Amino acid sequence: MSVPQTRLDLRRAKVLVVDDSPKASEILCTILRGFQVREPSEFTSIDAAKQFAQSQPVDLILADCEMPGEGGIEFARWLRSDPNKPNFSAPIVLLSAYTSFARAITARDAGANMILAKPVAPSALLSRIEWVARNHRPFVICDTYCGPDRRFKAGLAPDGMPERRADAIALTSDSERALSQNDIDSLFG
Amino acid sequence: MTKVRIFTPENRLAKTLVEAAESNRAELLRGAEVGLDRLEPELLDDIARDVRRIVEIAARGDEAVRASASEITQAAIGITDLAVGQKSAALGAAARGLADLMDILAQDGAWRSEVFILHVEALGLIFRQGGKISAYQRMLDDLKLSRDTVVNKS
Repeated sequence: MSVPQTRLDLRRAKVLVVDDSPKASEILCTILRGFQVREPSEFTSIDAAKQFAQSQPVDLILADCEMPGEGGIEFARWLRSDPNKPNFSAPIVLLSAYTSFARAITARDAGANMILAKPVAPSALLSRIEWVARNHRPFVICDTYCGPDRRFKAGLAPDGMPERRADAIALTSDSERALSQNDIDSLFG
Repeated sequence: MTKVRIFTPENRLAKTLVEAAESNRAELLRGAEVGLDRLEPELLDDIARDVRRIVEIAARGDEAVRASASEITQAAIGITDLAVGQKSAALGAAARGLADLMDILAQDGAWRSEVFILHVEALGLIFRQGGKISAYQRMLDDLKLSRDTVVNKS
């Protein structure tokens, strides 16, 4: 008996892309159009992206971390700052040329669902989109954090729980070490 | 006491999953690659400009490099942004390494000339020779080790 499978139909997906570099933005939108996303909404400044994000819900947000002034991390923090915003819980994938542990943790603590190392390979982006689509991850709101459940991978496990990921402890020992994409993924769940 | 609320929000992206007999992953990737192939010649010109700029500054010596650190970082990030095609993946990985190194050096205030030169020479070599990322994996791993020594010594 064949097991029912699912396929991605991104034609109706509303995707917001923010990158200050018009070329980098064009690349992302080219990849997304290749994935059959009809009209990605493209912005080269966080201010313009904020205006757009305030007015309508989107299904996915892709934002560059390295922008002059405010970047993707600040944008993620802003999106997660108000439960009344239409994109308060929208999936956010941040893109970064820097992949130090400190950067990955800052992105995660800002409420990003994922951070993806640049250069962005289509297969890597598609895998993350699929992962986000299939993953119904709880959302946490507290005084110090709003975003997808970070669980306890980078810290000690709660009493009585075995440590699930000893490698995360090794990662925290050197905050400037550049991480591989696999290392980064392990920090985001 | 901190109040914590945990809930499962609507996953709007889940609506894009439709039942089907088989995955369409290959088809979607092919669509993206066709688009990138069309863009690549133009992107390679911009990448070449950034590589040349980095090599040129590096050739002027330590003082010029330190004075132009942010320009080098921007050029490395520029390459990283654009090196998405098959032909430029190795170059993108080397540029990301250089951007990482510049970030480490900027944060620590330390300067390691030999590690910087190593990264620039690798970037120049990959740019001149081209080829797939697998051909340079050992070199890219060694560059990463050299960056780790900078972090560990600071």
